[in-house]
Amino acid sequence: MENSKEKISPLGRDADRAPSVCADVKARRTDDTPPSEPAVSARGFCVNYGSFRAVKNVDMDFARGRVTAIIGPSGCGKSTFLRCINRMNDFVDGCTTSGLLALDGVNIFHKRLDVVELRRRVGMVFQRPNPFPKSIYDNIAYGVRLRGRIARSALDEIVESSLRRAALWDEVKDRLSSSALGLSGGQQQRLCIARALAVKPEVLLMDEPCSALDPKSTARVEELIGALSGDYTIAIVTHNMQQASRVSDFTAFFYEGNLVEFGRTSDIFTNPKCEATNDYITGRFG
Amino acid sequence: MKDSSRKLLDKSFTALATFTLVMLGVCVAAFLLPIIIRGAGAVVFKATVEHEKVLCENFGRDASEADEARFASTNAAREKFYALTDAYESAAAAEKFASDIDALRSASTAGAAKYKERICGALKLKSSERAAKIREISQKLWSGYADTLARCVKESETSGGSYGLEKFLDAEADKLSAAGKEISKTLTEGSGAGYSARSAVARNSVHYALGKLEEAKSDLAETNAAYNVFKSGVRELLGPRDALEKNSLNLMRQKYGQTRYENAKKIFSEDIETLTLTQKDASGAEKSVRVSAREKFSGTPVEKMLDTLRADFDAMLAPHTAFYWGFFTDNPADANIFGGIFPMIVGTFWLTLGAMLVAAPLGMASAVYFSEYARGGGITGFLRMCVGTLAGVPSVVFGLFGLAFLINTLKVSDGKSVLAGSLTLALLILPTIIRSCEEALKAVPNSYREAAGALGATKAGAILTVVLPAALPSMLTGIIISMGRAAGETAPIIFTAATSTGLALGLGELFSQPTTALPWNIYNICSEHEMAERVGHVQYGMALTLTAIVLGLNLAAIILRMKLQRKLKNR
Amino acid sequence: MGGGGSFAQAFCAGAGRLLLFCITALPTVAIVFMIFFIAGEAVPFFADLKNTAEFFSGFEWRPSDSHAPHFGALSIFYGTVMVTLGSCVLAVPAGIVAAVALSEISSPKISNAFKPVVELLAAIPSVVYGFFALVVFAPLLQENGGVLLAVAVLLIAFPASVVAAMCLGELAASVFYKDVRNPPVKLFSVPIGALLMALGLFAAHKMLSVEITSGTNALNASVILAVMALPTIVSLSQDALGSVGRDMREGSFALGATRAETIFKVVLPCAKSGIAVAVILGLMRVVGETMVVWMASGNALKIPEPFYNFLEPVRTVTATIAGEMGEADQSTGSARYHVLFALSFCLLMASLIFNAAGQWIGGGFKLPKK
Repeated sequence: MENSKEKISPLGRDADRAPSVCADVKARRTDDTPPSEPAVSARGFCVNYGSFRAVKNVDMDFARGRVTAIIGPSGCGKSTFLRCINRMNDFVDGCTTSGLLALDGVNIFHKRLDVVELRRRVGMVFQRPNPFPKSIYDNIAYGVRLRGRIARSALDEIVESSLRRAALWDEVKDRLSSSALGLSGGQQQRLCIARALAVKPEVLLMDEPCSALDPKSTARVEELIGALSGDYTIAIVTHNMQQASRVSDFTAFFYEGNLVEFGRTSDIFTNPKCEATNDYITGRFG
Repeated sequence: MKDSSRKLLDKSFTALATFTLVMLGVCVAAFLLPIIIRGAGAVVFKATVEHEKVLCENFGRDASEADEARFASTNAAREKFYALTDAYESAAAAEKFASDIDALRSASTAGAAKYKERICGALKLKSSERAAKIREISQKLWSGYADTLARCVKESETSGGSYGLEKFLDAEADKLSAAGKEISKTLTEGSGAGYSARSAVARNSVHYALGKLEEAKSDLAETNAAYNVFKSGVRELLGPRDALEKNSLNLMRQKYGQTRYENAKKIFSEDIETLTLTQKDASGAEKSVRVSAREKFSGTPVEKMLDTLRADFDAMLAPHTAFYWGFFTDNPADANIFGGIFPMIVGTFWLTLGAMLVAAPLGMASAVYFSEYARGGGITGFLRMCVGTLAGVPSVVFGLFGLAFLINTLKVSDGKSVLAGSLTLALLILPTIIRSCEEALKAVPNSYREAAGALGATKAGAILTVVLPAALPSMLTGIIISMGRAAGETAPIIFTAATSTGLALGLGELFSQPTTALPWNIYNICSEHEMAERVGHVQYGMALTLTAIVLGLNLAAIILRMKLQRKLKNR
Repeated sequence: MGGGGSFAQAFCAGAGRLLLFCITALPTVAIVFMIFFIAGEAVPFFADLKNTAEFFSGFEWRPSDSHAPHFGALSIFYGTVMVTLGSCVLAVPAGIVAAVALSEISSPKISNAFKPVVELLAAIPSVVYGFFALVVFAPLLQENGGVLLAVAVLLIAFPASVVAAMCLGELAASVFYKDVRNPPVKLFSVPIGALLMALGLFAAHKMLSVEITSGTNALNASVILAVMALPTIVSLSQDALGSVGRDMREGSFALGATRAETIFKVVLPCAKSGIAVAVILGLMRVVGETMVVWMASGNALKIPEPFYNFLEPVRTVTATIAGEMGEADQSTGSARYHVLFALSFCLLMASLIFNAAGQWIGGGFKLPKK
């Protein structure tokens, strides 16, 4: 154990590495969108639960408009890290952070940062579909209505476009006023994605969005992720390496709270630089 | 909506919620603190020497040396005060006045001779004019006497002796009549006046003096009535002066002064320094008025008594901090004014014990059935619903049910009894016990049952040897909490078991006798006691005792539960 | 052993089971007997239709009058309803807000500290509450009633006017500045708030001059009953709130909702049936409570003037039963005895209906599984 830690530690602490990867990405972009700053970047970012350090010194960037997958064995801190990006860790007692985590260059953990605004810009989809026990329409409209009164026609438009983006419109357009709890698991998860999209976020966090779904629904959600990339910066935590390789542009491998390796998905899966990464993706542990 | 307002609303809601919590805490404190503080006053308080007197003479306590010293010192201090009252009331103080009045009466009687001619003249008048004439003549004769009388009354009121003077004046009317006869004898002797003429002279010659005497007496009576009010206040404060007086009184509350210093002070300011007098107003109707004793008696010896009382207040009562643990072990005396609350505690104990003996086994058995045997379905659902329904029935209805069913129909006892009360209470707490025991049984992991089954135990054997012992501590928690509820319930025992006064019951009387019980007696002493102001400490003391019993049981349950949880966590 | 032994064993097990079943059926039997006996004693009264009609429509209550007894129980029912409503108005909002505060807002440490407090509040015997009402609260109310009322009005008026001002300000701004992105909300909310606070102050000032003739009145009983109902409402509401999944809250927060919005728009709607059950059970405790109302309500046989005047004494069903049965049960069979059973029959029915409502609401709703 000690041995492997020593081996991987230089990787995590290499401050220059993350930007260089990013630069690398920019250089290789094939579409014609101009290169831009990363949407979310972490520098020496740590998370502690009381005295236990769950995320250690992470340096990485989430490229704008791209899908970044975070993989790693259970309890490696990947979910914890993801949840920090929209401050969901605020609700965990004794959870403290150090280092820098920035959204568009603004520290997410700044004392005077507006958490409500942050969460609107950084949407989240959870492991289990969690639609509110309201109608489908009200579920989608929930986030929009929070911002104040809005004309019914405008709201209808938002609901429809969100559902369309989440590829759910055709399935539910006739029963918008029925309860969201009546939908199937996959539909519920897409509803949750639509709900997140309705408030027009910039970043979308997905915490193992398919772990509670059957293969067919999983495929539809993966399809959806593919369709959304480009417009949204997506960070997805997954246990499923195939899924990571299918949907993501970049992959980060976490192990025991450390960011072991981060790079283009194709590189990580075909040519991992670290032994631990190799062991994990070949299924030797995890 | 603007984000800033949303956040403001959020913050104000947080503030409101916190405020509600704080108010909840304040509520609990405002509720418990008076009960605890004043309730403790039933046991620990500033007592006067009278407290020890009551204990020694009625509750079989032996006087300690400190008590004896206190008795001696307070008696000495009181003697000083009583010397003042004696002096004030004694005939000696009035002697000077008496001799003055005596002298003037004799002088006036003797001086009648010089009016002989005029009186004889008057006797010749018609009888209707005669009386007026004689009165007119004799008014001069008695004017000196009347002045002296008025002077004496005034002087006695300001310098003492009014008490003796009043007694002296009681006999004065007879003496005046005698004087009248003497005058009549002197004046009409040998004049050949008839009987009626003689008696007319006798009557009318002292008429004026008698009128003045009445005036003086009523004047004195008013002063002395005020003094008597003052004295009765003092007696309430210090108790009767001697054994003779004490034995002549019936109620125990009259035989002793104030046992509590705070009550003594209250009596001093409300019944001694301020007097409640009855006065007649213009229309002759009596009404009571409050007057300051110091003003009323200003410049008189009574004022000196007031001063002495004030100055020697502590010396007469010997205030000291007393721990009256007997509050819990003594029988009450004279409607709870003295003594403790032992029978109520015992009654509550019997009622609770009886209820637990019945309800705990039944409740545990039901819980075992629900958690181990019942297989869901309609009947179990219905039984469960009935448990819930029984839990929701108002407690007073339980009481009526106990009266109508247990006493009037089953006739478990002839009228109210501890047995009937216990059974009613048992029914009342049964649902609570069933629920908590069922929860405890459900918390026992299934692996226990399976392991017992794998070892070849029958279902009943597994329940008896493995499941019940594992669930017992947790069941105990629920049972203890129900016990607290049974101890505190009032409404069910009003018609089935409770009585207002009585001594602690023995085991044999439980099946036939009603008992006193803390909850009922708290109601009783608060709502129906005729001297509520004197039993304030008992009211609070009872409330605190009951609260302490119930909360103590609950606290024990909470601690037990916390220990269990810790054990489970460590497992 | 052999077959005989196992048969005996099976027989024993069956008998034991039967015994347990019989014991378990005891509450059911008790309920049936209770209804039967209470109704049985009430029937002689209800059999006389004239009396029954008067019972539900008359105001004159003189059951012990041997010449012309009157059984009009309306003012007694009214007293019960009044005291119950009064305590509900106080206890329901306070209880729900306290439950929300404990389960959603305060730190676990504070919540854990409050748990025994709420339990102890529930455990205190009702007669001790009655004692407090009669010996501590009533004299306080009688001597300083105006001041107490004024303070209470201020305590309610200030937070209420702040919140109302903000909401009304938003509303007014959105009406007058329809198309402006950041309307000047303060322009509206500040004067509205000032106005409301002035109103509150005025009301408090009015209250100062109120004189309470008797400390034992409907207000006293309502306040104490509210405190008694609080622990039931708080702990059951807390259970209901706790059973709302964490994912519901996270889903709401992730969409940019504030905590208050999450509570009001997601958590409370999810827990509403549990909270309704909590309120019903709290209400049942209030309706069935005897000692507090007996000691604190003043027991005056009349409807207050005007009918909403909480500062006048009233009399409730339970207090009437407790107070008069002591004088009536000597003469079992008298009209008074039976009319009191008729009252308690109404009480029993009310509690059964409440209970059924509670079980129906509690059972008829399925929470999304955690």
